[in-house]
Amino acid sequence: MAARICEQFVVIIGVVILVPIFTPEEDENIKETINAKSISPILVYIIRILISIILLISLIALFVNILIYFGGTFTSGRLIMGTFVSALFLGGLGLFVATLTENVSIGYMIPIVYFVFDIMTKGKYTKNLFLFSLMNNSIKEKYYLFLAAVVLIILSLLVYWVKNSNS
Amino acid sequence: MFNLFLKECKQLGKSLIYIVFICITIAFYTTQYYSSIKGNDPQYLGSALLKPSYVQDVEKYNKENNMYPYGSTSEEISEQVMPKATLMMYEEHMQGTYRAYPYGLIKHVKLDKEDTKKIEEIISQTTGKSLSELDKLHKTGKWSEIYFSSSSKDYASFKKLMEEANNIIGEQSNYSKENLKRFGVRPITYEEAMKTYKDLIEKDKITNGFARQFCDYMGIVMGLFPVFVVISFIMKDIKSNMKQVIYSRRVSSTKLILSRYSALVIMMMIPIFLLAIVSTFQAASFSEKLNLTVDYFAFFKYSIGWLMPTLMAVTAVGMFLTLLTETAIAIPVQMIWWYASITKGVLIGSYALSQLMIRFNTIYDRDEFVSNITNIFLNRMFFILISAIFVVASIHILNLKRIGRIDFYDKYSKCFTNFKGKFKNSLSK
Repeated sequence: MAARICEQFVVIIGVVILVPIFTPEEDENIKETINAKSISPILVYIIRILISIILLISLIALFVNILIYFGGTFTSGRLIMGTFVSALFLGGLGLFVATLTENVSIGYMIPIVYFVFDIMTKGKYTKNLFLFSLMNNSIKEKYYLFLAAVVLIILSLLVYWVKNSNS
Repeated sequence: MFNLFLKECKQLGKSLIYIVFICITIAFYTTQYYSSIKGNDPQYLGSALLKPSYVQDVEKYNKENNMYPYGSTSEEISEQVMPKATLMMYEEHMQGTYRAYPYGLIKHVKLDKEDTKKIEEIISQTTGKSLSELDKLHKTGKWSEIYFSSSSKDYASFKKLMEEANNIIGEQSNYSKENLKRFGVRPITYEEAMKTYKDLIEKDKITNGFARQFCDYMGIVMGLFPVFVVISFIMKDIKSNMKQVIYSRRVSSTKLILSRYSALVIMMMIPIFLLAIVSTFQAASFSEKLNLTVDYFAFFKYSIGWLMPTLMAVTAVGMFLTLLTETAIAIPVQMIWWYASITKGVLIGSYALSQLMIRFNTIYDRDEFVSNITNIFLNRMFFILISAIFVVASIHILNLKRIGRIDFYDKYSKCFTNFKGKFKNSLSK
């Protein structure tokens, strides 16, 4: 039950935190200034991603502990990890789309579409990448989601690197 | 102004986010509506277009096939409700947790000693036996021997006790007025099945009923996703620093806003119209096999009357917020609004003025629709009114911006210690 609240509300935080990682450099002027510097932008992005991940876990853990304080009874570790993985996947998906299309709005739109789609079709079409598997007490999907999230984030960095080295 | 409108339409049509929007609409349509209506092809036994065949004895059919020929429905039959509800209350009392369903979520309620005693009293009163006697009966499996008098007076006092129990447990427990009737089950009769069939075929001409379910599913899409298109479209202007150029032109703010708004609304209705055409074809192909007629305009009537006000309101609010703040704040605002409308409403039957999307998740229930048609009409008019208000507000905001009265970054740049904000200010000076 708490899994439902957590998964259906809190995972959206993943989108909000992870997608805007590349947006400060969207402006052409800023991008040119940064590219002239010797520090690799990829390194900066990796730092930003790590910070976002820590922020994400902290926020989710905070939320879960608030639920426990108000009288919830559930295994908090599994819930935190599970929600975190779903949120990470959504954020990674948004990040990848945002870098690919250089359009932040689409980067926000696609994860939310995936989220709404999953709520409505209840995993029929997303099978192993079902976001809300904690509601059905199943952790298997979480491993796939985590793998997919990591792949997406690495792909985003790659896309940025390829685009930058061409221009 | 028409030229400007056409230009905006072309620009919108070329943008990537619009194409994504169309793909999403089509994806939702295929997975939700098309697949569920496919089952109504007359070659399938469960099709809604087939006339129900007459079954003499419904109970005999149930015994033979383990289900009722026309389905079953829940109704407050006192002979069924009283024993079943009491049994459930006894079992919940034994387990110590009571189930409640606020906002469609399930909640396990634990009661303190005082409230538990009150529940015990209620159980004793409805069964006329003490708790220890009930324990014995339950253990030995003789629960069905308890006699419940189902005269109307006794049933009325039973309902009062159930309401008391509901107030103790709180928030839509199993014993609330609405949930009590779930305990009674009765078969749907042939006459009722025929009436549903006739309503769908003759009065609704098939497509009207299908169209209501179409609007139900597509309304969910139209309540949230247009905001992304709106934001992306308006932010393009801001990002490319075209603001100053546009502001200094002679075009009136009204023309700008109206042409942009109508371009957004009309371009986003295009996928709906195309899908309406596809749906009409699908329904027509089904009904041809049975030589029935369809109403060819149903899907379009419903798209304009039912879906367009939602789209108009979402677009207007999104446009206003984006113009005002020059940020993407319309996205979380719309998500909250959309989520509130979806979780508050039931699958069918909620027509309050606050409902952004009107749900109607069935091709039947024409009576429900007809009896609520004034509410639906008021609701849709209300949202058209909201759209008008926000469009006018947007024109006003744009005017103020052109004069220079509002510059959001200037005023609130202290709050947004955003590098982008400070950089923008120093660049435009």
